[in-house]
Amino acid sequence: MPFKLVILWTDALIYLLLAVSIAYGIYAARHEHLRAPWRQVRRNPLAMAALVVLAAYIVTGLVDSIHFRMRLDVPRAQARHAIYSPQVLSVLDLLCAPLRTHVEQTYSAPFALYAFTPQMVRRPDGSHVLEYPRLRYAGAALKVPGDRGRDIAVRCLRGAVESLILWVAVAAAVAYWRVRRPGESARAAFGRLIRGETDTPWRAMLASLGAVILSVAAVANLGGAYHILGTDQVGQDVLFEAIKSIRTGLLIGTLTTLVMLPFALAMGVMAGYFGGWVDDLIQYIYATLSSIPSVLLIVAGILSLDLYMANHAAAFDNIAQRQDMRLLSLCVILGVTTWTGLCRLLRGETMKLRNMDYIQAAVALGVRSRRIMTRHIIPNVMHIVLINVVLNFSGLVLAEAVLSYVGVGVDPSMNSWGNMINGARLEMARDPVVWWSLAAAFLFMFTMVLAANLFADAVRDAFDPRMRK
Amino acid sequence: MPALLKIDGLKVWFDTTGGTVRAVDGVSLDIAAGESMALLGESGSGKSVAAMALLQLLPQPAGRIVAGRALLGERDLLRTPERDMRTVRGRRIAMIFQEPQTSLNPVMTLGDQISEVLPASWPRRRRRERVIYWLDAVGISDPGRRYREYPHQLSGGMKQRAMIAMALAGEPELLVADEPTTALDVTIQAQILDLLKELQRRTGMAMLFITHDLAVAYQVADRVAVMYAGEIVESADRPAFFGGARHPYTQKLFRAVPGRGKRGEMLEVIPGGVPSLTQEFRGCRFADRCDYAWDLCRTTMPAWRVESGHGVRCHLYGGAAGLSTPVAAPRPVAVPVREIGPGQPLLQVRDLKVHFPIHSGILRRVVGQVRAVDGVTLSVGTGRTLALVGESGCGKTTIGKAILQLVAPTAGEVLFEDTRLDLMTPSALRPLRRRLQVIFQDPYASLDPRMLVSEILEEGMHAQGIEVATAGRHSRARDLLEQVGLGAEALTRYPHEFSGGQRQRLCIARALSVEPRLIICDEPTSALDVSVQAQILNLLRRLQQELSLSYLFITHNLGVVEYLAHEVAVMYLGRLVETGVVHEVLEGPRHPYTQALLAAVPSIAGNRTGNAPVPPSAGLPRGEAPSPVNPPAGCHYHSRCPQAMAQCRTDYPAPSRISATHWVRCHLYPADTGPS
Repeated sequence: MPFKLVILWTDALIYLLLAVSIAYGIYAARHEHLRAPWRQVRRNPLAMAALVVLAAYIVTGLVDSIHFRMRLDVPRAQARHAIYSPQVLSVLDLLCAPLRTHVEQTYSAPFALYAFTPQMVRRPDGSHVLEYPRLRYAGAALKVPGDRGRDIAVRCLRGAVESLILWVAVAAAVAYWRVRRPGESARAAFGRLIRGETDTPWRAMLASLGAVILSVAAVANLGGAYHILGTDQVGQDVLFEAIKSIRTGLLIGTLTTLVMLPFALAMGVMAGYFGGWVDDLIQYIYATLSSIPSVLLIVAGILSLDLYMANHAAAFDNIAQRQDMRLLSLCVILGVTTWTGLCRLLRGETMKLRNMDYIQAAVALGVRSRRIMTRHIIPNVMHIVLINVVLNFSGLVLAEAVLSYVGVGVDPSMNSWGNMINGARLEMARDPVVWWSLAAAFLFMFTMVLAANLFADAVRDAFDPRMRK
Repeated sequence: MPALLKIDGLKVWFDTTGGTVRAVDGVSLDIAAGESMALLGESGSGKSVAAMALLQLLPQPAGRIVAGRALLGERDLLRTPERDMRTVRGRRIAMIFQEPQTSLNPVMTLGDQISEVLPASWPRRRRRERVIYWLDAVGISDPGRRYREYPHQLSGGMKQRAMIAMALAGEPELLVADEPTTALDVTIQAQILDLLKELQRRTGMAMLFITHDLAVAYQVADRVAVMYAGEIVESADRPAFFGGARHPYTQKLFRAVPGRGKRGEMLEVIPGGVPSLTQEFRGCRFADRCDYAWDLCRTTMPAWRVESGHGVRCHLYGGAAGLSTPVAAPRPVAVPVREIGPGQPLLQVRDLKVHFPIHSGILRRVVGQVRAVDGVTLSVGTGRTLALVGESGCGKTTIGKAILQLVAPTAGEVLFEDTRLDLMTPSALRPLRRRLQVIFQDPYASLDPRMLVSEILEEGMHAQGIEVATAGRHSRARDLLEQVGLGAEALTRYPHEFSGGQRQRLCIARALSVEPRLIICDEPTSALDVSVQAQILNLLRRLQQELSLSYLFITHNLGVVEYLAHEVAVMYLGRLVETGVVHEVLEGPRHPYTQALLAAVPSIAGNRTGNAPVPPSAGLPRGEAPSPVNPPAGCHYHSRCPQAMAQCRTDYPAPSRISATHWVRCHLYPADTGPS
């Protein structure tokens, strides 16, 4: 085999999360009380447009979660068995190979052909001059630097045409297979789609899909030839860094929830259902935890992990594993500090449910407590869990940025928006200002958090019984 | 008499995702000045919506007024802009609602809330005097102090009085009362009805009284209009209406009311349910449920016919003979019911006490006890029904829960088939639970909304190990549904797809799934309409005969007691004050409280056979029940009893035996060596 699959801890968890989501989807489709609110979400144009954007992020994150190590080309005689590169790559790295490999010397502005900082260059005649050297990869195909404007325009036009073709194909497919009623012509179905006369807001979804396709096509056409968002201090393409950071953001937002959910659910439901000393104990635990400043807890957790990794260097033989462990532990620590809010909500709701007549009837039928909790109470508090999860997501993504900025976030060598912002602290102090790292991190994070918030609002509206009329 | 309010062809539609609901579909109604009109109808008939439309209080944007006029003098209320409506609401038409708890703002004092109705230009002192005048007029004692109090410091009846004071402070010409007594106890209901009649006499205002209760309508109304599925089907003066109702629907309603006169027969039920209001009706709306319906009823809408003030919307009265003789003679529907003799005691409760501690302060010390149940002794025989009667808060629901061990009794014994339930551990109790089941009051809260009907019915079988095989459980669930009168297709549906009455049938089926011997019925029909209540009572009675079930029937509805119960126990503030066989207690009540309860029940004179001989001295009880935290010394009832003596204030009365089965605890009767 030319490669060896590497499954990092976070990869395994993300696959698990994917499996759980698919299982939930199948379960929800079979239960009317779950299907009805999702149907309401599906009718909300803004939410569905946001979902398309969110889906683009999720796909990027998933593609970035399939890791492997390439086999090194070593002559057969020299090696008994295959030797694999120590570098762990992901499928996304392959797809974005030009972005990844086009590494310049140092800073360069977006679409620049020359470096941002002057360097001492030795002339053929032996004299030294200070000048802005030509970049190695940006605009390498240009014969004359003056052609840059035209080249960019041509590439943009090509990208636009490509994306238009792709978009029309998708729209036609949607019109034919999803919108068309039996006996209706494809043309009429397309007309209804364009006029927005469909139950599911396909028009809004296609509009936001168009924006996504256009961005991807632009990157595909321009990314290899220029540094669209410039390069950072070590010459790495900023756009590539921002894209690689998507996985980090998604992981923080979802895995944290996955880590804390079992605690919050079990503790909250048990405290509310049993009351008495169980309730006292659980209340004591979360009151104690939530009164410790969370940053303090996170700092303590990360520092002790650092110490552990330093003492057991052998167990973390490559950089990917170290980054991964650090990310996972950050998720766990964030989970430990955020579960109390949900736990408190669930405790209150369970206390209310416990006195409902149908729970009393189940007790009178002789149903066991464990079964009452799993069959009656948990399904009836699931909407709170769901609302909490989607609302928490964006908060956690932002928390990662803040923590990395403070220096207790993910591994400093890992791509994350927080690290990009942290790095921008010094860049902003330069003159002229290096603004593109910060702008890229901001743009990517802002888009994702906005999409997540819009979607979360729609989910809450659909699932919160108080919002229903 | 000139009409004060003239409603003409009012139509109110609601746009919902399920289609347009024609909630009110052409209602015409006149109310004369000083007249009291009762708008009678079951839930969903559109009676409240019609009243809300008058004041333009419909929920927006779902509800819209499609057609019609409502003339108050020269002004058409339906076309009055919002800013002018403010001079109508409260000033010319005032409204009181069903729930006094939610109708008052909890963060405003009573005085401030009532003052809002008065003109803002009045000086503060004058407004205050006016508010205190009205608080006094609605029978709130010490109005000067109440003026500064907040709603939570008042009892339910007091809040409703305060609501009435607020409505009347604007001195309206018309008072719209939307089921103002439905949430109140029967003794308080009687007080409020008396108060409304008295105030109406004094102020000369007109009243539109919305109710579902025939007897309440009889008590307050000068004229009655009956609504069904969005239109008025019958309207007449009170004597004509209660003397001879004409529309088949109204006639059925009268026969569906339970009472002792109907003890030996099944109650009349109205088959089916109210038709969906999203459809366009072609024929009579009641045709599908009517015994007399023929082809004409299904194809042509009956016209509104009036003869000597008695209007009816029915084809039966379209013949040449005029309105007085229906085309087809009503068929009597009466099924004789077998009475079951007293059996062996199945459940015995001895001196049961349930006290809830009240915690206070930082250390959560116990500062007092709520004596919800304070020494109750009763027994239920096999195949018998014991009715437990009392006002809300008297502890009757707590007794039911204590018997089921859903709350732990503080003291006393619960014996079921010679087993002490109160001494058992939860796990030892579990197999016994199949012998005792429960049906709750609210059919909407007693079924898990996330479970299929089949899962609900099979849960108990699973827990009790009945029918271990899945196929066996399925077929048993189908049998149960058939037993309670629902089809097998219900199995794959969710509870929200069923109406209140159907849900209550599901609750009964769930209780039956584990083959119980005793069912504790906690007000199982009080949330239901009269016609649906009749269906459930018939079902309970049929099941009792088929399965020899025993019922502990907790209720405040004495009509239901008269119809269903064999024995009655009257409860006041955690203790039983009178017990006996049903005819002894209801025909010869001895305790002043029982007498007062019976006197307070609104009745339709001439409709109830053998009215209870209540001595005139009894009268209505004064005020409201005291708190069980701090019950009065001596006899608990002495604070409200018109016949209280010095002894009543110091000593709790010992039981007095009236007959072998009839016991009462009252100093009016010589004490006996009671069954201690």
